Amino acid sequence: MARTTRGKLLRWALILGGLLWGFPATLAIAEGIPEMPSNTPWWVWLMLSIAFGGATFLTAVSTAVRQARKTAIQEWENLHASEKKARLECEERARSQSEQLAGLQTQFLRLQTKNQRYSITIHRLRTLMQQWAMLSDKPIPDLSLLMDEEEIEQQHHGDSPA
Amino acid sequence: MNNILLVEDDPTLLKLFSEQLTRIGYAVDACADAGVALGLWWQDPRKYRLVITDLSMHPRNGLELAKALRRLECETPILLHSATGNPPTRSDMDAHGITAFLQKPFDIDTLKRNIEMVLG
Repeated sequence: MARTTRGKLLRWALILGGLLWGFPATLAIAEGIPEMPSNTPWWVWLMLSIAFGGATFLTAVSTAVRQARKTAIQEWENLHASEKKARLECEERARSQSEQLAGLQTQFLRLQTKNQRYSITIHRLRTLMQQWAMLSDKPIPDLSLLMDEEEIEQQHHGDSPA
Repeated sequence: MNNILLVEDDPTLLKLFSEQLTRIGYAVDACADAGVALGLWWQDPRKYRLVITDLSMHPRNGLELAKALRRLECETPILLHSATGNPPTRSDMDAHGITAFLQKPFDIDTLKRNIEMVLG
């Protein structure tokens, strides 16, 4: 539907609505005014009806709009408050996870250092054992106790080329 | 002639390996550096029947030496050995052209068996 047609329809709806709503109200008010002469022209009644009806209708519409706006603002504020709460919760969780991560990183670095020291020691020990093996006829002692479980597992399954 | 090119950066082990390999009948050219080993091989590519190299060496390790040799179209078998707790995987070895791997410590009999196996 075209915009102008919609506008026209709305205008007529306002006038008719005002008449239908305003006329009985005008009559009721006019009855209460004793000075109102009985031969008042019809267009005065019409004008009064339009004025009263339009005013009443516009008041009703305005009240409804104000109420809707108030509700919308309230909803927006509620939404804003819940969004703020969610954001704060997220920030708190992120901070907590960041602290946890920092702790884990420290722990990882400590273990990595320990592992490096362990690997260097094992390497030195094996090198020394190799020297000993080249010099001695005695069998090489079992070093499997020095290997971790993963390494032993690898060797058993033939993953390790050794 | 059973010439072996031996590469080992630990001087004591280099000496011991040379002596033992010589004792079991191999002629050994020994060096402590992968670069020197490449030079030795390049001087006479047909001389060596086997390259024995350590894995952990500086500045070039055994895998890098093997790769460099393969790039020079060296077909000599390469026996890698190491004292490390994390030996290279089969795919690593294949990628670098390693024929066999020995985990230290090993005795001279094991070394001899592996050399015979590699040389077929």
